[in-house]
Amino acid sequence: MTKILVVEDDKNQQELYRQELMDEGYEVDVASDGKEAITKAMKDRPDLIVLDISMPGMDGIEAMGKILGTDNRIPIVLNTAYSSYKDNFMTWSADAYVIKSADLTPLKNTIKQVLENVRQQLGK
Amino acid sequence: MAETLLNSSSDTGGDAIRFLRAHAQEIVSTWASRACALPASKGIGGPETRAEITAALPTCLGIVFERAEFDPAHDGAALKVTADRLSASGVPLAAIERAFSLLHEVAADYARESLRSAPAVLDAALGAIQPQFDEARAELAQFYMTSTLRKLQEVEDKYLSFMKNVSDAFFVCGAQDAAILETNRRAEEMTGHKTGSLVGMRLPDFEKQPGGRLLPACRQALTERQTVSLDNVEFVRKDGTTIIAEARIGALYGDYTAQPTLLVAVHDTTIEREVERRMQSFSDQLNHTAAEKSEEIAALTRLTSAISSGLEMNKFLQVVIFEIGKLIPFDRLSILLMEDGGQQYRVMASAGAANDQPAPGAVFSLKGSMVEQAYVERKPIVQNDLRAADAGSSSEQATPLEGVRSFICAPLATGQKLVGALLLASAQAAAFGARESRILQDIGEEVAVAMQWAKLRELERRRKAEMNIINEVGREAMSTLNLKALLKTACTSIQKNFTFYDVSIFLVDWTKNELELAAHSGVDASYPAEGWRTKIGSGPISRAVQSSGVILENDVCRSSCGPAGPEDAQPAGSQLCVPIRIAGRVDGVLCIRCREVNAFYDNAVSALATLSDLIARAIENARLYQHTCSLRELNENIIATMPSALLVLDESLDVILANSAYCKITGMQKKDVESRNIRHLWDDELLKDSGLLECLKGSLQTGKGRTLTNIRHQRAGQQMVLNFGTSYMTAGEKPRLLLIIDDVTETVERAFQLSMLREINEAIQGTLELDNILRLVLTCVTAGHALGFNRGFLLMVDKCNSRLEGTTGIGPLSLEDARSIYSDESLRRKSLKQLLNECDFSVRKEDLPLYKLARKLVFGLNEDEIVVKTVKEKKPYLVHDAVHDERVSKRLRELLGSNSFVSVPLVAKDEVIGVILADNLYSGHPITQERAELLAIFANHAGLAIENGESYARLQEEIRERTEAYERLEEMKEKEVRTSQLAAVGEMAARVAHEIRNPLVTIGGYARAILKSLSPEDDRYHKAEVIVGEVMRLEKILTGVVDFSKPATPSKAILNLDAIVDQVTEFFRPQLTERNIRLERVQHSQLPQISADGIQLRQALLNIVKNAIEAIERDGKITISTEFDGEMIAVDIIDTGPGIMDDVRANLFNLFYTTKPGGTGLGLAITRKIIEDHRGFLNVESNLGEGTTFSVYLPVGIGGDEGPPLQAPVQGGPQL
Repeated sequence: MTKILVVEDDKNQQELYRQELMDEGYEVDVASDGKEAITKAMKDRPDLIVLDISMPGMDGIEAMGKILGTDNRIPIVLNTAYSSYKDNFMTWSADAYVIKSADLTPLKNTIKQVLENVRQQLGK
Repeated sequence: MAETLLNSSSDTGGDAIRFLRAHAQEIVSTWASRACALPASKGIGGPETRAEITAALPTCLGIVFERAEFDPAHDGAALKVTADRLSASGVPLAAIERAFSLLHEVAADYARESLRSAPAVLDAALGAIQPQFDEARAELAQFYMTSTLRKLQEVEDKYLSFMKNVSDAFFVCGAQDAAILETNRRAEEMTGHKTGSLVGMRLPDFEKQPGGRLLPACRQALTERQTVSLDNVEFVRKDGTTIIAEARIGALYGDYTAQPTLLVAVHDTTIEREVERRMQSFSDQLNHTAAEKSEEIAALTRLTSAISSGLEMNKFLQVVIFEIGKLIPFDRLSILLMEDGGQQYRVMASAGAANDQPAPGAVFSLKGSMVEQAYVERKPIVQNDLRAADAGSSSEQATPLEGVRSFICAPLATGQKLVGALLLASAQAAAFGARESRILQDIGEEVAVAMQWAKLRELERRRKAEMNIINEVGREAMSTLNLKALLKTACTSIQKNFTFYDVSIFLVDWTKNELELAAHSGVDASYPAEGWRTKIGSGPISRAVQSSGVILENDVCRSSCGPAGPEDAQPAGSQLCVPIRIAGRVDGVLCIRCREVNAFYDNAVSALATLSDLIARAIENARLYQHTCSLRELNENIIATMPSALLVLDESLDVILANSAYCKITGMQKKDVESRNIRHLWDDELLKDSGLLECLKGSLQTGKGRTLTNIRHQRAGQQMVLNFGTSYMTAGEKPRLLLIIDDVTETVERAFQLSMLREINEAIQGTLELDNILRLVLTCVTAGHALGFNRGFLLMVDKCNSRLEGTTGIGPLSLEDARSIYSDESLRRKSLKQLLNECDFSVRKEDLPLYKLARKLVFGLNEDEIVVKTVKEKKPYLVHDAVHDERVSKRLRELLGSNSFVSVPLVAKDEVIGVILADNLYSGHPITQERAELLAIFANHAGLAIENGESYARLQEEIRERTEAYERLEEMKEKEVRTSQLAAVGEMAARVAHEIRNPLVTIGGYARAILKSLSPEDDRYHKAEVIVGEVMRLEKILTGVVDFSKPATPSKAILNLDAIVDQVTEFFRPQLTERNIRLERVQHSQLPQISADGIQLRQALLNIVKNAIEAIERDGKITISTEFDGEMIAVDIIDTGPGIMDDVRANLFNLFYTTKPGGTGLGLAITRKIIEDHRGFLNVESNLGEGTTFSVYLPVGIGGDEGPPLQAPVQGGPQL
């Protein structure tokens, strides 16, 4: 089963994403900040990480840097309330980005797309 | 019976007569049977006539024979009585004559038959009846003569009345179809119609043969302009009878009658023809008789034939003399003719050797002469021995008796009328006896008839001649009004028609008491030239003048007052001076001279008197005409020399007369103006727009004069001001309009120039903008009603560079422009004030047509050039001929292109600040000194104004600089405020957004989860749906706020805006279709590639187009046009929506400002942000009810200040 790590500091949102993505048939784990995200990513080696950028402590960008520093094969989808993601070079390292919205359809579609891309890469 | 006769041979005559008388009945019956057998040509007539004669003859014969028996000195009374009786009962005279002839023949035959054996008896018998028959024939002749004379008298009367009343039947006919216009009394008599009914009938219709000779003759007279004569024209009278007439047709071409008129004189010749015919038959008869007669009869016959041959009187008399000479030897012979009703006689012809005979033409009194005796006794008077007779009678002048022993005087008489006498003289005593008496009596009768006839002919001939003269003179009098020519014609025709020696007309100059020879015609070469003058003295002409009566001198040698006319003229035999009386005063004399003595007859004198009246009338006419002419000339001179232009128009406004002033003003020829209609002469503008035509028509209708003042009129590019005055008058019956045109251009112009200068001053003083002042100055120079030059250039002194520089030029660039400007109606109507007020200062002076040329007019202040001189010498220069003017350089001349111009200094505060150059390149009007001076005065004013303007301009410049500095400061301040505002808003918004978004996502996410778990029928489904919707809206606002407050710097790439526009339109396509909005794409020019953020620009355009669609709502049109001008790209989005209210427009780009329910108020704010981030700007134009135009302007930076364009990540992640 495809394992997705959702990094989100908001508890309510953690629950929302977990449920929604589980409904999509994924195995969902959550992390509340950057550190926990790195730890879980290292330990569980998820198939995909959904990463919020703005978080207390280590933010998503920093966490992404660290995760990609150890394993750059894990696909990361940035899920952010800012549209100013472009300001940061780091965001370019992400496989995709989704503007955070109550409508989760764009997120779900993006996840599906990125996973498909990865599968194709591996297939080669 | 025969025996009886033979036995009584002693009294043979008596026996024969008795024999005949006994057999009278038999003779008559023989006569009757022979008469029936006579051929028709010599016939006695029809059975009725024969019966009549047969009935009368027995009695007649009885009387004849009885007389012959008992009274040998019979007188043929029986035959005469019989003839009278027969004639009275209607038997034609010719028939009677033939009957008598036949009777004579039958009687002779009878006698011859009966007395065949006794010729002596026969001779005696014949001798006895011969005189009776002779007598009867003579009676018949007299009868003929009487009736002929009576008719002749009628003819004569007719002629006389013709002479007095313009006699004959006269018809004045129209040229068209010879319809009768006027007739005289004779015409009534002739045709049997009254004048009233005659008028209107066609003369040719009277002709017996339809389409006869009259009409062609009328046409001939019209075309050949001469009198056409027709003989034997048969006219049908009203009662159906036919008359034979002679017609003379003349055409009158008068100056006063437009149509020629036909004058037809019809002379009834029926009676004359009849007389002629009878005379002919008589002479035939005589011929017939003469065949058996002696030479006497032959002579008579020859005389008769001479009569009927129509010889002239003189020739005829020569024949008479010749014939008498053959019958009777004589030494002298005179033929005398009675005149003056028998009071005197005239010698008509004479023959013989003696040279003391009276010349032909000599007149003698009848009283006491031998002729009188012959006349009284009605038979030849014979004097056979003058010495025995009372020869001492002094009254006998006709036959000076020297060497004359005997003479015979036979009356020339027809019946009771004594015509004249034959006078024969011989040196022999007893030269004339009974034979001569008888012969002369016979001849006398014939001659008398012939003379009457010849006299008649002569009269007729002369009257014809007179008529000809009257015709000619009359025609001349009607057709020419030149007095000299008229008098000349009169002289010539009198001279020609009467074959006078010479004819002259003298006019009396009463002021000098002189006679002037006005006209002369004749063979006398020594006659002085016309114009010869002499004092009124004692000559016959003078006497005619003084006595106012006709002076007739039939023998000039014996005249008491000497020859008429100049002394050195050739002597004349007779002369006639007829006074020409005009209004009771003798104003001239008609003087006729003839070589022969006794040349003038009574009739000639009266004819000439008539002619003199005619001439008098003609002279009067001519004088009247000359007077009229001189009056007219005077009038025309007055008109011609009037300083005002003047036209005389008729009722259809055709020009009848134009005076020289008009021709001079208009530059037209008199002949080109006259007879043209005013509508063709003047253009509509002048006629209609100014109300002139109305004025003319009004004047014609009301007959009252009118005036129109200050009418502007453009002629040949020149403005004229005209005053019109009309005056109504009548010439004859016809209305005429006098149109006086005063050219008040100069007066008006002067007044105008003064007020113009004032106006210009006002206008210029009221303007302080230097450029505008310069423009105004030049407008004044070129305005038609100001200074009116074609072009004006302004050159200003540039002290720094020490040169004179052209700054502005006003006027058309080419002749075509000039024409279009001059023909621009609205421009011409405007007053100077209007022109100046409307002076369009928005047109940059650089865009004025003459600007470029003006800029070329640059001269160094050290150059030797007329414009520089103008500056240095501070005075105007007027150049008339640039080519030959040394002061004008070739360069200036070629630049200007005109040969004549004026250069005046612009002076301000005693300093020359520039030069105005003006010329009339297009119209070519010469520049007058006065114009140049006016321009100089104007330049002084203008100079001041320009100086003021320059000061003002400097002030303005300072103000402008300060204002600009202030505005820049203001702008910066505003921008700073906005930036800081934005920064604050951005910061806050970003924070708020972040704080709000997360809870929103949660709320929305769970709401969706709930929604998903519910079936739509569940009543909670809708509630969850509302939450989802509201969350979405909030998120949208947040996204906008975040995007605005912290927008990304544009991520630029090289792109084409057209592609972006295409994307936008493609994006909206379904929506446009659904709302029925048409989208039009206009690409004015190829757009260049630009460096820009495509996504941002797309967003910006999307916002604008979305607004447009929402503004239209449904059914409309959006136009997106793109254009590149070399620096900027402009994108216009034009909608047909309701437009934007002003208050809305003021807040249009403000953050959170929205008029739409559910709108965020962020769209246009973001759009502006994006465009400004691209260093561009936005503009909005909107008209309520029409629509809105959003314009996006983007600069195309070449090698822009941004770094190399950043590669924007594609939504959906980087390409791995």
